[in-house]
Amino acid sequence: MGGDNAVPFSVPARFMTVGALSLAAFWTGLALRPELLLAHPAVPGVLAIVHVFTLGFGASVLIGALHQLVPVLLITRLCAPGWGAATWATSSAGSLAIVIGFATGSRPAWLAIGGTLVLIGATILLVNLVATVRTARRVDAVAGAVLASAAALWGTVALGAAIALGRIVPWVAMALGPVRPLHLTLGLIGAFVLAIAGAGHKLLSMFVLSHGASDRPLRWVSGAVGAAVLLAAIGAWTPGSWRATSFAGAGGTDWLARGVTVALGVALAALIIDVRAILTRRMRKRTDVGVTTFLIGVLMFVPAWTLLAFGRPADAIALLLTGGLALAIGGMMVKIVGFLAWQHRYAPLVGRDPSRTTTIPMLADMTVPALGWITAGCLLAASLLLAGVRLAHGDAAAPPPPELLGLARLAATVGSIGGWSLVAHLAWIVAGRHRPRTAQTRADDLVTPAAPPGWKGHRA
Amino acid sequence: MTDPAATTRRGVLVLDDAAAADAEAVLDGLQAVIDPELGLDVISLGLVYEVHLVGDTATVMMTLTTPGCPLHGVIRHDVEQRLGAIPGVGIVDVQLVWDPPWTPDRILPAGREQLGWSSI
Repeated sequence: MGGDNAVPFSVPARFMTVGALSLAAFWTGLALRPELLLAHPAVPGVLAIVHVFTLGFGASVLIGALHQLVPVLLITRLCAPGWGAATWATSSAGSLAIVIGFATGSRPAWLAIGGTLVLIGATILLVNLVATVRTARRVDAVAGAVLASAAALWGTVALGAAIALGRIVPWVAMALGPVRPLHLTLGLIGAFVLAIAGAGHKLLSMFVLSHGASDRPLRWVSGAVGAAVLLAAIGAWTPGSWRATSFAGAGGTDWLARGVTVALGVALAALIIDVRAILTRRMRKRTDVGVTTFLIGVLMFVPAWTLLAFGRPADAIALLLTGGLALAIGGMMVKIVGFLAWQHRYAPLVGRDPSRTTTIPMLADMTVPALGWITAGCLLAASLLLAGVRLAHGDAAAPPPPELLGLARLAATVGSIGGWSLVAHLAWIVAGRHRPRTAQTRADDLVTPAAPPGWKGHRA
Repeated sequence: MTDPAATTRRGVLVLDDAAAADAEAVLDGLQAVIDPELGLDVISLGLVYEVHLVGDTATVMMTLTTPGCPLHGVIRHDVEQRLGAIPGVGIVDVQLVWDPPWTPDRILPAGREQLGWSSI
């Protein structure tokens, strides 16, 4: 069961588990210490929580999705599904080492070991994907964007590992130059935003049953993101211009900085056009909590880019992380994880007893919609409130507005509790400890023998 | 020997050539196959193009909403099991085809209603 290009459940499930736990941990961290979002980006605690998000959540979900999605997009088999375990083990262990390394005061050895492990995992993934591509008949714009995001992820990790190594070996740092902004641009935009655009084009169309949307806007997204990354790379290795030419430093007066901002604006406009075209062609009128959360996340790219265009790159990145990427990737994660849980628990029941008229639960039954809406709403509110705190606080030495910070903390707390609850709910389903109502009906039908005529059941 | 009778029922071209099974029962069986993402059956979605009933063999020519759909194995298995349980059906042959490609125009009115477009 599962189809010709099906990947074993355990391969993406491992990554998604790490991703879901990391997102919940990220928001728990911000609920406990929201002031971290106001601190300087070089503060170890900030770097720790940012890497919980980028490596633990974003990269894990992306890698898990790549294992499942690339064979689907290329209509072929994943070359080596078994390598997924090695990718997971090395990248997860490396991510944990990096987070611990930052959380304990930027310990170089932990960062170097962690960076190396993550790089090994990313390399195994890249080799696996390249070998898979070689078996494909064609690579369309969607697959191209997704594969480019995988390459960008590898580049981000390689740069990160090199930066970590440079903390131990000075000549490595000297040879590298100021590549941190490129590391940031390549990761946030090249890997995550491009993956959201590429995978989103395919998955959103599937989830809302949309048909016939052109892939031309997606090509524009890919081209514009490529241009932004290229400009950031030129800036990174052009002496004296790095601060102004990266995503982190865009908004300055340098022409490269403006170029990056314009390229990202073009990419964003094309992405919005693409999503709109998919939605206007949809046959499924109502969008569920996962799809809606994804769409809100994509919309949050707009204020993030606006902050960038108005010369507030740090605020833009904060909003991009907590609002745009968290919601867009999180929304798709809800759908993917629900599918994996369903495939694991209920796909084996399909067709087992065809004479029954009762139904197996739908994929939508894998989540608790009300809890999902509350969680997404709270996290959106927390993201906006934290952005408000940042903007109100500015660069002043004065403490942030306590009312806003308190509200942000409350929203993040409720949202993170909701996130943990959703993870626990799915874990219960996967473990067989909990069955949605429709599954209960089905299971009872399967194991309960037909009642004899006239039998009224047990009486209390 | 008689020519096979070709009729279109529920949007499906049904060829009945001395079939041992009842065509309506076969279509009912297909209507019990649900896409778990959309919550709609494959007949209402217009995924089934043709059903050939020849003797005790049921050949189903169907498609999916998108090539490479990860649910394809599950849906195919469900079709095989449900049709295989129908009296008179001994062999079930499910052929996934991509030409002609599926379009939303194939969704039956009942399916459109379930997807939330009842007012249009």
